[in-house]
Amino acid sequence: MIVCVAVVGHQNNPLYIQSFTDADDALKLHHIVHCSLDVIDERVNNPKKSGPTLNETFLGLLYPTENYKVYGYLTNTKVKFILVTTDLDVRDADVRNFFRRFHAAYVDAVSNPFHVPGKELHKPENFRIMLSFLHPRLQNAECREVKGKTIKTSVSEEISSIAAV
Amino acid sequence: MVDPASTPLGKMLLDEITPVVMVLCTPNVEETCQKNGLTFVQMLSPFCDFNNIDVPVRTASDQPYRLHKFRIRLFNASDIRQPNLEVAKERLKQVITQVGEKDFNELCLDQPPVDNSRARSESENLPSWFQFFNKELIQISSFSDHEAFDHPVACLLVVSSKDEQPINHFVDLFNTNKLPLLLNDGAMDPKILKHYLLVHDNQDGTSEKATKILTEMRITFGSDCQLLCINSSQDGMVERQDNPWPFYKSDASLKQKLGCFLNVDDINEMKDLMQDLSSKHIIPYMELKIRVLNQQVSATRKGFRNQIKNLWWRKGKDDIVDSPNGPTYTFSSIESQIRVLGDYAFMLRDYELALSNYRLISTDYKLDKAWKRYAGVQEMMGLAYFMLDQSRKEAEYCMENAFNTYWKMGPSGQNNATRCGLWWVEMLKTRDQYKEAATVYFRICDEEPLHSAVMLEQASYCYLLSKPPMLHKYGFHLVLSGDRYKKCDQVKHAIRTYRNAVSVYRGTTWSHIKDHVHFHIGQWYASLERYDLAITYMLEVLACSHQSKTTQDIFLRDFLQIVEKTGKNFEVLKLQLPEINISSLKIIFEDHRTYASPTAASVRESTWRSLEEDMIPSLSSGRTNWLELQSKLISKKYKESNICVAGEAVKVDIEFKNPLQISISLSGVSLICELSESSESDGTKSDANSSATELQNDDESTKLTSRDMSSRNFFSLSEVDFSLGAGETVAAQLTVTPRVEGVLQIVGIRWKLSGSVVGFYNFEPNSTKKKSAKGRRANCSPSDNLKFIVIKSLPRLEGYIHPLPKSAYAGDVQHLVLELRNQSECAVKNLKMKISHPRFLNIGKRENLNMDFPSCLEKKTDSEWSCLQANPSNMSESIFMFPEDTIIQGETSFLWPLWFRAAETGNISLYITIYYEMDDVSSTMRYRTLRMHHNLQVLPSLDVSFQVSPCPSKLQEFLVRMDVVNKTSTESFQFHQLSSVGDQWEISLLQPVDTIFPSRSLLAGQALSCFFMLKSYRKSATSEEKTPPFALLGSSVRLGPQGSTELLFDISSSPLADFHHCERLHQENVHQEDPTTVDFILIYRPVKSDVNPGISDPARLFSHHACYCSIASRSPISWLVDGPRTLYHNFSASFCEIKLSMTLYNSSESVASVRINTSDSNSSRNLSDLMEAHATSSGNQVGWHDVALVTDIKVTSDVVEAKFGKSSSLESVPPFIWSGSSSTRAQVEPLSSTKIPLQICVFSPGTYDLSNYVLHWNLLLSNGEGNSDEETRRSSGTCQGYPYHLTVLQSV
Amino acid sequence: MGREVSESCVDGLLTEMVSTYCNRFYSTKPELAARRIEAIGYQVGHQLSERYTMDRPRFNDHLEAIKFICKDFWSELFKKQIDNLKTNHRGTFVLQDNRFRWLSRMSIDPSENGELSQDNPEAMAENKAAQTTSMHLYFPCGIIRGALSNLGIPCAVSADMSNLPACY
Repeated sequence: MIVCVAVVGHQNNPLYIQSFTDADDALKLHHIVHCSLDVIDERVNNPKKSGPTLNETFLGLLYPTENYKVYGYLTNTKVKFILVTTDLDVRDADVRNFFRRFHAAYVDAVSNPFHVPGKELHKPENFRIMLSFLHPRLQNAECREVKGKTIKTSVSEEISSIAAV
Repeated sequence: MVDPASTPLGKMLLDEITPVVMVLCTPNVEETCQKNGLTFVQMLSPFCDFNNIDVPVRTASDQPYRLHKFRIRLFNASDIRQPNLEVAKERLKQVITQVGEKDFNELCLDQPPVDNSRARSESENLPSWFQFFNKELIQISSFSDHEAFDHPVACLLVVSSKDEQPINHFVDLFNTNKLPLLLNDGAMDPKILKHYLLVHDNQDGTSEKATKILTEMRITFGSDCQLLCINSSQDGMVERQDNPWPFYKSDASLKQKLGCFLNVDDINEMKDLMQDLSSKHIIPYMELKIRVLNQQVSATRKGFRNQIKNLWWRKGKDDIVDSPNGPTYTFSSIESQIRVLGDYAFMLRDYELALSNYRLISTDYKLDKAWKRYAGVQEMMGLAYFMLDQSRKEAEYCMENAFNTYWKMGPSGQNNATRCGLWWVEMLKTRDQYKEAATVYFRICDEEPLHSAVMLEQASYCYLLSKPPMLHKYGFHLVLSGDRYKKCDQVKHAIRTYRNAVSVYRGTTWSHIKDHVHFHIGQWYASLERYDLAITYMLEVLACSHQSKTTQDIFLRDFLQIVEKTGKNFEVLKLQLPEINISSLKIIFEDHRTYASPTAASVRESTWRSLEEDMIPSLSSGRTNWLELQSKLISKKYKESNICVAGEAVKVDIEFKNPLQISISLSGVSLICELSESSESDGTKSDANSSATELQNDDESTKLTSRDMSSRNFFSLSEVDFSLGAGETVAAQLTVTPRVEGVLQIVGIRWKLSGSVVGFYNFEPNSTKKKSAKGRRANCSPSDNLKFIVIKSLPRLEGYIHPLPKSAYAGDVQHLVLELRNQSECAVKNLKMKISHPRFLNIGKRENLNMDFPSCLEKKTDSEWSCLQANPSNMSESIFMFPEDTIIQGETSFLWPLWFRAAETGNISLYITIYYEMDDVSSTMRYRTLRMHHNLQVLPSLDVSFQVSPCPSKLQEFLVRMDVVNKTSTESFQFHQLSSVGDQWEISLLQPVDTIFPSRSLLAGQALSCFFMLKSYRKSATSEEKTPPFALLGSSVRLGPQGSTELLFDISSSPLADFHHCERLHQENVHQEDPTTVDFILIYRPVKSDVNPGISDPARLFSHHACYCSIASRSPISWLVDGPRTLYHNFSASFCEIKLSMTLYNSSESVASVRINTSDSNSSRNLSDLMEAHATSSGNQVGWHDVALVTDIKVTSDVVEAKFGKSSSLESVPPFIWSGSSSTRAQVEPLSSTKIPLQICVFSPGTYDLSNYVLHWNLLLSNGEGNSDEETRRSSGTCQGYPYHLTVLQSV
Repeated sequence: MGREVSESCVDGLLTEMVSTYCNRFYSTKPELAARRIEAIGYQVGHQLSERYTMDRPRFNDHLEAIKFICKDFWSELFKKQIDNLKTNHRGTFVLQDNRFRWLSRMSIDPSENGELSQDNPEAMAENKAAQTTSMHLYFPCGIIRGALSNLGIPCAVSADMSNLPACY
């Protein structure tokens, strides 16, 4: 299932990070997302490695790791979408499709007149509802407000998830 | 491209992969050396490095080349074996710990962690101990049997001249049982170059004996024998700067000075020895061996035939062995020989040769599944490629291949994998492929935490160095490694790495990560008992509103615990809990303006100013003008700064917000102030300032406290304690009361968070700017907004008005008392007062202070009512001057009567300002003003409207119709009197009172109309100018119940007259065009509801003033609708038919035809609608209908439109309809009247207004009529029907 | 997902906004009014660009972004592409639209904004008309600036009219 989706602004400032696990891994996911920014920059700066077609918004798989797959998407306005998923056989088409709809949701969210550009998206309802298509198992994960997490004192698991690219 | 040899990796290889010389020596030799605190090996080690040993070398190929740098490694035979892992790990650990201590000490100077840019520049010199650590790591996997470059090339046999029978010693030194495993288990060729060395200690006398032995040796062993004489210096006092040995003696204790007996020629001798050994023996020996091996190899393996044969042969034998690291190869096996050949070639820098041989066997090993050897060979290939500086891809491929192969072998390959990885990393680094290097580091690190911690840290630096720097990964790997360090409790390293990580996340909004890092640094510092540092980091995470409740809990709790551990109560500038909403900062102080209530203080300054306009001497130049009076006291630079009075509190309103989901408690919240006593000398004043300003940007909060402690006795502060719930915002009011004159500066706020941490907040000057720009103090510069000049205490009046009601019914007249209290000891004089709404509040006279109201208003005999004579002075909007003799002495209070009348419905706020002057001229301020503010709600009571029409019968007599609706919901009223104002009028009853009011009082929601007769005594048109408008002689009729003894009220007396005057002024503007008007005053009283409803409440009195009721009626037609006013009907049985009759009167001389149009469309106007339709209308004779009479046709029509428009919007089905024809026509003879029957049907109980009909009339003028007064009239017109209120009740 | 809005509504909104800011709020200082209107446009453009660039590859230089503005963005807003694009290759671009839709239905009667000085009333009228119309151009300018800056091209946008709009 999808573990986490994130929106990161053009100054690499997190705009929206939503994890769909009950596990207490906010910190971990933050780290994953944060590190993936480097990869995105790399993809963009030397596009020879980048996705199928040049300058496509969809950046493809960023991290192949044993327990996660991290996909990236970069809009024209330098806003990054990041998708962390656990199911290891994902069809690119699905991810593309997901990102397209996610983008739509994002656009609607920022079109809200009360949204201050560059500020965090405070889980606007429509945004979350738009997100609820993510995965059949997400509908309930979605309704569930993400529970409070105590700080993680050990990040050793991350090592596996950050097996570098 | 740089020469590979000079790259870090090159250097590494040049001293790692070099010939090994095995040393075997007798105890005596060691003993001799120990005099110098050295072992034999250590003694010689410094001289094994040759930077320019200029030796010609010729390997397999024929062209020779010269070798410059060269190195041999000396090892005791006992050391030539796989090192013990545990020991090695132990060493690594202690290495790291030492380093940690060292780094940590300068870390604790706590220079702020490097920011990224500096980090980049700095990390060119990474922590130097990385190199050392890596080297140690590589050492671990030395002397493996699967590679030959660690195998001894030569063997140095050393015997002391003290030994008897040295020869024999030489012999049995090299007997097998002492030899290391490598030679015995046949991994390497035991036949190696032997070199015989005799050590002579010069302290044991001269060296003849030694030379004798040497010659014997020469005879026995041949030429490779040498003599080494040491310890030539007798006294052992040899001092040398640049002592070479400590570097080779890791456990060097510095007190013992190494090599103390070795003088210069000893050292030279050793140098020569080693030089000679390596250049004359080792290198030639290796050359020779290379050539030999090369021939064998080419014989057996080169050439097509051999290849095929070899292949075929291996195919054949690969079924036999399948041990994990493949078959074992003895030194004699061709594979080993090729390997040796390769390694020798490598050591002699003939990389081509080495490479070719490695290539040759790597395939063999692969086929044999001898993975370890295969990996080793691959590794060497990679290195060879690197040193040849050709085909990077190949090199990297080989390294990776080797690495993976080692890795696949599991634990046995672990260390080799690490070594290989490190070399690989170096290779990548030299090619600036830092990112790849980082990943390799990442792959090196195994589950052993310390090891991987170091690797991760190195990896992180690689990310930093990669172009472009990958800061995110840098940070993350730092965090990871820090975490690992923590695991194997290297807390200091953990802190170091985390602190570097901070530099990555600082200034970003990745708050989760930031909090994690800060929090842990804090914790770790605390665990090292560096609480001060711990707290500085903990402070960062306090305002973590984004975190979960539990996390916030943890943070706060740990923080407080740490603070407790520090022992002292900690003081923090800009503590993040709670948030202080600086924009909510509001300062309320009283200079010459004093406020009776906080609400008064919050009123906009401009309203007060407009009110005080002409009361205060030249307010335009505000306070400055009286400042000039004592400009000698206060220097000019304070002109624009605020003034406050000693002994009077300055209030500061400010909001505290708790961002957390857990409640926090604040105690001792108070202002930080400082007050510098004013003195004549400007110097002290200025430094008082400077201290204040220097305070503002001063971060030692301790200084703050000490200072305001010192000045604590100059002023008193209020302290507030409160606790903030989750996400709660509390507005607190803090006060400071200066006691002495001087300059008071409000510096900031201090508070104590949950009893342990003291927080400070300094108001920056600019922070209050925005507020003061829009706020009341717009005229003082923001920087001085928090600075006050304290002047010596002054009298201050406090004012109260009792009993001023919060709400009243319109028309309510009350008698109030204004009380002014003077708390101070000195008196105030010439008071003035001004009231914003004279219609509502009127100033009485001292006499009627303690009269009983309302009886004082009743008509008296003419002797004494003069005192109540209305005085024009205070009726105007002007200022009321209290009599000159009024002086309010200290500690006394002063009373003055006020009259109150609720003139108008709605919410009214009354502003009263009182001006007073100080009695003693010495005081700094001449005057002050007291500002009072009251909000008042006025409810509608009676809606009264008058309509005057000329009496049909007589001239100069008029018919007055009064329509009254009781709009209250509960109150019921009883009429007391109706008076017409002005002496030319006299009003009289038309019908007896009881017929007018069937029920004595007007119940809530009830309405009625009644008629009066108004006579005019007007002699001439000029007479009314003579009578002043406010001399309210007039006539009244009592409307009270029959035979009641109540006296009439005297409308000509104050306050009624005054209020009437105000009403006149107020309503004036409405109709000037109309000369002939009359004013009415209706006085009524509420019925005491509790006691029997007949009796009205004597204490209360209402008055309604209707001014400018026009008497001029231009319509010759007047009419009167007649019929029942109230009746009962059982609607359940049927609807109710009501018969009415309309009497028309034609006052003109010609026949008039009248048409009455009734309209049901808009008929649904029951009273609620009426009320809301007229709640807005200002209350003079404007009822809702009489406009038609006083204004001409055009206005009428559109007023009609307006009414229709308004009413048509009401509910559609009318509760009653006109029955019969909707239009009735009638002829009226001149000066005669006719009756017309009308009928309505009512469907539901209620009170109805039957005004929804229109009269159209036109005079059928006979010719020749057109005299003067006819011209004023028109020949036709339209009149809107007037209200006829009918109440129908459900009968029981 | 793109919702349509009646064109006349947009026109009405524009004129209403301009008149409100120029005559009600900042009647005394027009430049302030202009800035406010431009600011509103900026936000609109910022959001529109987000939407209209949704499914298209990223631009790899400024020219592509400008072209996008000229073609797609323009036609989304004004139902037509611009007629002419010029650049001095120093970062200045000139977009020319011969029939700017939002002004195409406006015309200003020189006589009605009267109180002209006697000497040359026509010029005055022209002048006044020009001012009034340019007020209506701040909004689109803001939109374009917002769009570009959201695409990572901070810039300044100004409008210029060759001749006054007039209905035929």
